Amino acid sequence: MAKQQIYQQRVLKLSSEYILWNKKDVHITLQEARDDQKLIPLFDSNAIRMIDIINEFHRDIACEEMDKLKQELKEIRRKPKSHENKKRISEIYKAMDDIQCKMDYVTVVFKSKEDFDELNKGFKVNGIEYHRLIGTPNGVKKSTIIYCAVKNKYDKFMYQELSRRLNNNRDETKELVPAKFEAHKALACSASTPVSTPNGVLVVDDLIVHFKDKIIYLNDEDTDEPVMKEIDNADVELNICDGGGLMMPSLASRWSEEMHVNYLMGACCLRNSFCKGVVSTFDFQAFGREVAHCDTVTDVWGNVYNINNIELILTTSMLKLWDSYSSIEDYLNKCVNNDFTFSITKVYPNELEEERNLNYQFIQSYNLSDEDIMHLISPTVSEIKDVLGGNYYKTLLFMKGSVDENYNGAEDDNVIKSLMIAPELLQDTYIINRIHNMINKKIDDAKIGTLKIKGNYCVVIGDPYALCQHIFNMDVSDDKLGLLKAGEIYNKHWNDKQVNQVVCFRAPMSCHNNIRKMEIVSSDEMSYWYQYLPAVNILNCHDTLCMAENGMDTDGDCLITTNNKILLNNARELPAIMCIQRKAKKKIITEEELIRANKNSFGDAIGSTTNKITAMFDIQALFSPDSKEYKELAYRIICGQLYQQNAIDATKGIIAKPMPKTWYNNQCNKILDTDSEDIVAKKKFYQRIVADKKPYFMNYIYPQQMAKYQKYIKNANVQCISLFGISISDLLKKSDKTDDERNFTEWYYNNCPVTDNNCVMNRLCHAVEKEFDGYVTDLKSDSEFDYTIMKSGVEYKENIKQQICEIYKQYLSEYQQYVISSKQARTDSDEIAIFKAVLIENYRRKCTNICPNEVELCDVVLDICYSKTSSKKFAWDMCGEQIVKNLLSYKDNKYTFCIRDDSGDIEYAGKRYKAVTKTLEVK
Amino acid sequence: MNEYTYAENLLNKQDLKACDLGDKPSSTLNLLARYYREIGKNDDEIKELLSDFLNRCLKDKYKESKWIDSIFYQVVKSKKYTLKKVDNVIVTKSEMEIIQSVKGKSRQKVLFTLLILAKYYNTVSDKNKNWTNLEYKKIFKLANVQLSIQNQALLINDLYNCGFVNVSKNVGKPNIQVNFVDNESDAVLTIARLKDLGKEYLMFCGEDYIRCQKCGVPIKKSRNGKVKYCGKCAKMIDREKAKIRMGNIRK
Repeated sequence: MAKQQIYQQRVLKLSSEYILWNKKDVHITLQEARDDQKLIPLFDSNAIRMIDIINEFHRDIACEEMDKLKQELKEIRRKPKSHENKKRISEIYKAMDDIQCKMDYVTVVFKSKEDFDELNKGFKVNGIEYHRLIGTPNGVKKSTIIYCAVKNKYDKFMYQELSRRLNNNRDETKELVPAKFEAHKALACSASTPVSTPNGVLVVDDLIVHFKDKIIYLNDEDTDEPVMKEIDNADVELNICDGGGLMMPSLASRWSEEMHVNYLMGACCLRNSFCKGVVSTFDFQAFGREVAHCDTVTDVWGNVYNINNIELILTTSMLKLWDSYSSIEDYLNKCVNNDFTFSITKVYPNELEEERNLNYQFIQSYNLSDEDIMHLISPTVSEIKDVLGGNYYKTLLFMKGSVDENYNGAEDDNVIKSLMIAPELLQDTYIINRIHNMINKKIDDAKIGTLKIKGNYCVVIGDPYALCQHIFNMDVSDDKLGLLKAGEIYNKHWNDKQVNQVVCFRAPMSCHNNIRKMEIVSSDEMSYWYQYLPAVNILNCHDTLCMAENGMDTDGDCLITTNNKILLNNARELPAIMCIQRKAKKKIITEEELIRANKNSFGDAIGSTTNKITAMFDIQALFSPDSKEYKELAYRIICGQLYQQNAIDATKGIIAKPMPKTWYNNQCNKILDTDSEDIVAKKKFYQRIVADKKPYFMNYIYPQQMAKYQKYIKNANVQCISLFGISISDLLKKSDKTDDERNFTEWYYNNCPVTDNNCVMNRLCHAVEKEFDGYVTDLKSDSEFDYTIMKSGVEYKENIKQQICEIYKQYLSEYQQYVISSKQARTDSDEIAIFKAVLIENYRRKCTNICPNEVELCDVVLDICYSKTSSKKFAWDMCGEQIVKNLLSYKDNKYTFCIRDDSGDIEYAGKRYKAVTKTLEVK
Repeated sequence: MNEYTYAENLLNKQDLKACDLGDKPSSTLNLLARYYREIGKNDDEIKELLSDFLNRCLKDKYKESKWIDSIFYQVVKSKKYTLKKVDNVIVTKSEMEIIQSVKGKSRQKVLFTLLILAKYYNTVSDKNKNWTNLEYKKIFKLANVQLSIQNQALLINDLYNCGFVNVSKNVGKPNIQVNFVDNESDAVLTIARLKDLGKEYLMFCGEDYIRCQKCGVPIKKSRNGKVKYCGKCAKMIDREKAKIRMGNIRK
């Protein structure tokens, strides 16, 4: 992926509680915001670029200024410390803040919908009033809304102007679905890098293909529980380029250069006003010449163009509001007037990875034997076991993996770099703990199905050949469209490996019908036409793969494909599921409608729906496949896809039914005195198959559930001893139980907060547990570890150490508090990474303000952290780079890494490697 | 024992310190939130009063923004339970005779503790029928009996087999019911706080215990008879004395 090409920008992130606590008039300085983790980094987007333009803020000058400030800071940190230097550093930080912080743009996290209503009446931050601007789809799921300054400190009416521009002079009399419109408008807030305007843009209709196939149809409109119908020859309609378009190789080449990628991009994810999707590189001009024998094409407005004057083809599913404009020229002119540009959010790689991790959703629907499970876990298990031996090279491979011979470690983490320089660091308790944490994390991940397999995760596109046949209006029947036939995909990576069949997965998935086996095909014609697409999955336009993969489209969706024998051989071929489609009502867009749409989208019910389905798999494992219970659960699992769909629909304002409570809440199956015999029988049946608990393996996903489970086991054990004088494990083994003991055993299982039946994932989890039960690593700390090898050896004053020590204590307390709260709240890894980055930067600033000289600072923090047994993380976070420099100078700039070599003497995870030692060229 | 009095005493303290927040600041905040609700304060007032209390305890170190979540949470939670207002628990003669009939001091101390707890919960809730739902770890700490969790359960098993207690059969909830509560008999002992109940029992049995002259907890009588305070109070008194001493020197 291309890197952001501008300095990092920052915005305020406030909680609704905090604003309301301050009676909707918040006064906060940047330092206070930074200390309270309320100043978060924000990637560059069209909306942010517009704010700069409205403020007449010259980015190019700002970039130069930032570079100068960073350089000056670097130089000062090398100089001996002085009062002047300290003063200058404060000035530099202030100047950087002025450039980086965008105070016109504030994100607010809402605790409740009532808070949202209250703040929409208006609130102030540092005297500036804010107005709701937009809710992005990912933001509203986390109840986060973006607000904009009504009138900013430069006297600009920012909200009014930005809101006007985001609407891009669309035809406002057109009725639209508010939630969809909000999502389309929010595309301007996607992290993106601007690129040059293509020479000629064409908008064409989507390619809709019709064919017949066997499907399962689910409809819950007229009944409490969905009606499931298997239809053999159903009419299927497929939009083969839903969110996909094409670009000429010339454009791809120009954009590759602008995005600083050193290859010709095969596909990229594009943004513009109300425009989103993946464009793939395809020579449609050559197609016109060689296949269609035509050079004119008609766009969606009926205007005719010469294909040789077109560089980019968008489909109507990409340009969401195409019918709000009179022509492509009208749209592009309005984009220019409102400072919208084409921008790229992601450039897809030109090579695919060799290995990929599975997740439990992909595994849970398989019928795997214990032997299959052992085969599936063995690569992951052997990799972990290899590192337990404490061997230096294997530890390097575990932490970094294999690299090529030109590796210089520039991008790596400081701990990994240091370990490559000095093997002695394997005696450092900090490094050892870090490795232990990594091993433990890997073991726990394996227990929840994060298993290494040969495979790749790669973007899908519709057959561009078929799209061109459509664009050039060629007379080709639906069944002859494209180069690929039903059941086939094109993937160069697998073709090069001569793999001819793979199995495909896409999350979120719920049942086995979401797993598809596909043939990998190739021909000279394909190699020619798909020559610019070395790392994408090209889909055929004749089968139900997209439908099977839970409504996959081609606007950036990715598939995991693997040729893993266990997964391939055990995959069953099942019909795709088609759920009833509901349409949301179109309305004239008003602020009230958008607020309502935001509120409907607060929270994310998809995860909880998926969890309920996972729980059903474990209950299903209790029954034989012929039983009524098993079949009913199979039906409910299939219906899971409908309920996932309904959860998505609910965010669009569509009234859809949630999963029946009787399926997952046993209270709803309680038999009442007034119930008829039939109802009693039905309720008893439902009680047997209710999925009201999470399966055992999920303990490793939800730490709070694990704590609850462990407490239950502990309590049940003391209770068992108190009642019967024997432990619970002895009681369970006991053959001649008394009535009381039998009763206790039965309730022990009934009351357990998780189900531990024999579903595939629970068996897999236990298999991994067994492999690492009581594992001990040979990595042991050596009390003699001499940390002075990491020091520079300069002298410093004791009062500096005392001041830094205070900062160290604050850092530890703040970090520990966050670790606890983020575990409880199951904060996602991206958010944790942002927190860490902000925390480290803030404390680096604090340290630099006390001791501007980085060499001296390094020695101070090392003495603080390493002379005691307390945390050493602070030293690595504050002075990691200096530690690396010191170690390099101690080791004559030599460092070691491992590369793949079939005749190498290091064997790790079933492959051979050799160690290479190099000397770093110091400029 | 009496949460209302405890909250009042805490708020009336002149010079509040960080340690007054206790080991679990969230529990202290919850107690105060319930207290304020009981005396008729509304949500907004409770929020401000809790913030004010934290400010008094933490002084310069108090950062409002760090505590907002916790304050909001406790304000909502405070609606769930009212304050426990139990002044004391009375042990009767027949109850004490049963306890003293049990073999072994540890068993006696634990049984005494269970009795106090059961009677305490009976007072807190009319629905309670001599049950206690405290964790074993806490029960044994109150009883001043140090045993491994395994042996704690075995001791309870002994008491269960002898018929002094019942153990809940609701798996996962090892609650204990005391079988010999007799409120009709004559009162022989009044317990006013849920602390060091094992020592209270030993003191009642005539063992060599005296009460700390400052806080009133039972402490083992020293050989020379000089010890007047419990460890915690002695430390505090020493610190106060040192403060005065140093103040005098500086003068």
